[in-house]
Amino acid sequence: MTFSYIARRILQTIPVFIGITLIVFLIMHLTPGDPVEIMMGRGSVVTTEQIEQIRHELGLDQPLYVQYLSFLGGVLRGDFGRSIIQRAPVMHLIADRLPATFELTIFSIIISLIIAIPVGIISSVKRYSFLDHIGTVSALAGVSLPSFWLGLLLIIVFSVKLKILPVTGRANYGYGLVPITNFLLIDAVITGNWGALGDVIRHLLLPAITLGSYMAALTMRVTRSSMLEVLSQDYIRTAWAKGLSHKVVILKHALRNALVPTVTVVTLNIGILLGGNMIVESVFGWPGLGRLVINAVYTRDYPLIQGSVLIYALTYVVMNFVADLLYAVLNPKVRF
Amino acid sequence: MKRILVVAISIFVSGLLLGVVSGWAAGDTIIIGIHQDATTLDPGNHRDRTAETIIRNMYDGLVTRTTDMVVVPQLAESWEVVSPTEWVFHLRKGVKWHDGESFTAEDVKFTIDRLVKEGMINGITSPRKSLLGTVNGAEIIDTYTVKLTLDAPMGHLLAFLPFQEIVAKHYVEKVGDDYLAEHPMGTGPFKFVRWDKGTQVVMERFDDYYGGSPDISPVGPARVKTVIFKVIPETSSRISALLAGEVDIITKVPTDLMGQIEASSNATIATCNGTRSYFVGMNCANGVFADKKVRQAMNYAIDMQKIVDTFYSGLGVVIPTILSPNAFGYADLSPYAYDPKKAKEMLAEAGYPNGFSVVIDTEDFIKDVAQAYAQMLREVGINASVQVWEWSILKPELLASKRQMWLADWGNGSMDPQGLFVPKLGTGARGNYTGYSNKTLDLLFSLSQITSNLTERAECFIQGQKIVYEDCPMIWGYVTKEVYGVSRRVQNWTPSPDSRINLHDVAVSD
Repeated sequence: MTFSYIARRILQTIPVFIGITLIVFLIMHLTPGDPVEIMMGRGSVVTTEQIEQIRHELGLDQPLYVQYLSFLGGVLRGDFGRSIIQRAPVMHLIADRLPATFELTIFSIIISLIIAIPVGIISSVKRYSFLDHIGTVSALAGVSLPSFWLGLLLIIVFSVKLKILPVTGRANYGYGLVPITNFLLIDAVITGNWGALGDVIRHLLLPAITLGSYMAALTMRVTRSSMLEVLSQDYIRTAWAKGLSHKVVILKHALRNALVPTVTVVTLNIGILLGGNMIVESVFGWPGLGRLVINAVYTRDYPLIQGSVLIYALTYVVMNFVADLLYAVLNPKVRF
Repeated sequence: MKRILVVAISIFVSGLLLGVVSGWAAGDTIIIGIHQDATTLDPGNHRDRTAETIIRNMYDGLVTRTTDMVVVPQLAESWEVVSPTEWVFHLRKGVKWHDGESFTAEDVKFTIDRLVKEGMINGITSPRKSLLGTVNGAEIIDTYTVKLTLDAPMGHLLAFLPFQEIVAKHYVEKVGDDYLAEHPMGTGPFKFVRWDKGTQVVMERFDDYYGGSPDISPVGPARVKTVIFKVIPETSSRISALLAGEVDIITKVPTDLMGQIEASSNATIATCNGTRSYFVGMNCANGVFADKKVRQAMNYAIDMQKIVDTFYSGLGVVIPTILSPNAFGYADLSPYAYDPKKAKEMLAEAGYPNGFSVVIDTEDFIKDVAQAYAQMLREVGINASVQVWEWSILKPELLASKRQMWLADWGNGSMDPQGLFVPKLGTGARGNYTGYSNKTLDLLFSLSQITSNLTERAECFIQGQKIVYEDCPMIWGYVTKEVYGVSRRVQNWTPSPDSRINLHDVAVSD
């Protein structure tokens, strides 16, 4: 891993970012609908002059290229502008939501990996066994169940009927947890508020399971198939022939190589999970970025859309990079 | 080792599960499940009904409204109209801000100027400016007297004041607009604690509250200690949270899901007339609907009660013109009866014995209702079909008088005709897509602006409604009801037709 490689990777992202912002900018501005009209509400007491005045004050009456260039100029200065509807700085609004999104995503990935990788290994080792069939069927279910349906089903069972897990939100106000980092798990630990820690985990469970079910299913299948491939290779036969134990052959020799495709799937899906949280966030009242972006699109809140899309793009780029780094860790032959 | 791990995990999991069984919503906390978060908590910088609902529990206005929509004093004790362009308000003494400072005329002047003068909030004009019409500023007469000055007479001023919450001059000047937007500080019954964006707004009882409007009992501090507005966007989750006892009141219950709440033992349904009127506009300027007789026939051709029963489970009120029965100056006329035979006869008299073709324009969310209208019109011989539009594309077409008939709606939180009747049916008004024009009606609207005598003002609108009732620029429709789910713990709460959720008087039992 050389410095020039890293520098090249970073430089490559610049045209990607410019391309993304330009496309999003054009699509949003070509879509009918005016943020100021939407902000004022349809059927409300307002004059056309007042709408024009606010458009002027926000710079929305300027030519498109001027608006785009001033946006780019702002980004270079680290200023992403102000939300038209919420009237607050875009970066501030995004920063408010990011911890919730990251916390949920990371938690759901951990849950899905804890389930998926062992099941994937077992399925491959005991191929066509009863366990393998159960794994296959669950994977099929995990991929095909729509998340709003699964989420509501879990709510009905665990919250309404059994009353053991909460329906929505991130924490109960009653535990007096004071957000510091806004990663509530971390906040509960650093303030030593153990009641709140349990409460935060309870709030995380249902959304994390709902969000992670797809990921778990996918990881399980990828792990299984790549394990099967690796297990049939010569060096594994050699390992068996050497008389190595089951554990060493499977977990050390086979799994390490088999994990390369799994890493690709997981890292790339983290990007999708971060962006595709919208439905889970709505069902569980989770205050993540997905809901913020969807509302921004509905209300044509251009600066907020632009800012969020840049964050998404950044996440994808970083995740791709992380995947590449992990390949090198898993396979010494991979060198950049 | 394994055994220790198993034991540790079991303890952890059982701890997790136990924590929630008892719940924690005690008798001093009320939790409202709302469908969306506030866009801001700055009373001067939004046009957002949800923000309004939340903010109004922390801030008071010069005046407020009862659930019967009568304007009553709040921070102002009384007022007088010195001249048609000068309104003097006498303020309540001894009112404290949440930070302990005293409320004075300085704060009222600061608030009004912030709303109506240009570029006052972070260099941008308040989006609420238009709600204050011709008000151009305020003058301090003495510490507890303030005068609102107007460019032109504005009869509806009082109707629009309940929504203008007074902010503290000393606080806003000290903390700035951005901080205010996330840390409200008012004179209301609850003081701000926390806003976890996208999740909840938490507030606590303000023990030094002056008591609120003397016209709305009980007067005094609020009864519950803690109020939480919890954001639950998904309807089914909101209902589940109510049924699970996690929240006490939920907003926006769709009529088809009411049954779930009615069937439960711990919650019930509360309804009130909403603020939104639905109607079918007709192009009075050109085409077949330029003939008044044809427009009247349309009103006879639609079974409006059946529409309300079918699409809204009966939770709506058929209205004789465009105003809600809760609106100021509502004229108690009887809605056009469903009489397809008469409609056919009138069409024949107007020269259309075999009907004509018409397209009903509408938007996706209400297209089913439009289909029902089309079906009813076909029954009187009109070849009606439905076209679904995106509003932002349809609106310019309507403004250019290019369309013939469209199903639309118009919300009016002020409950004053000025927010609905005037902009929809005044000649050349901003929301008048029908091209309808009636000089007598315009004159009545002008009169209503000039007078500050409420009886005279109401009479202007009553006469106005009689005119449009006869002229039928629209097929008069209905006002839908707002449906709330309410836990049986909640006492002394009634939904308000302006969609406010006033928690000052509410109590909860264990």
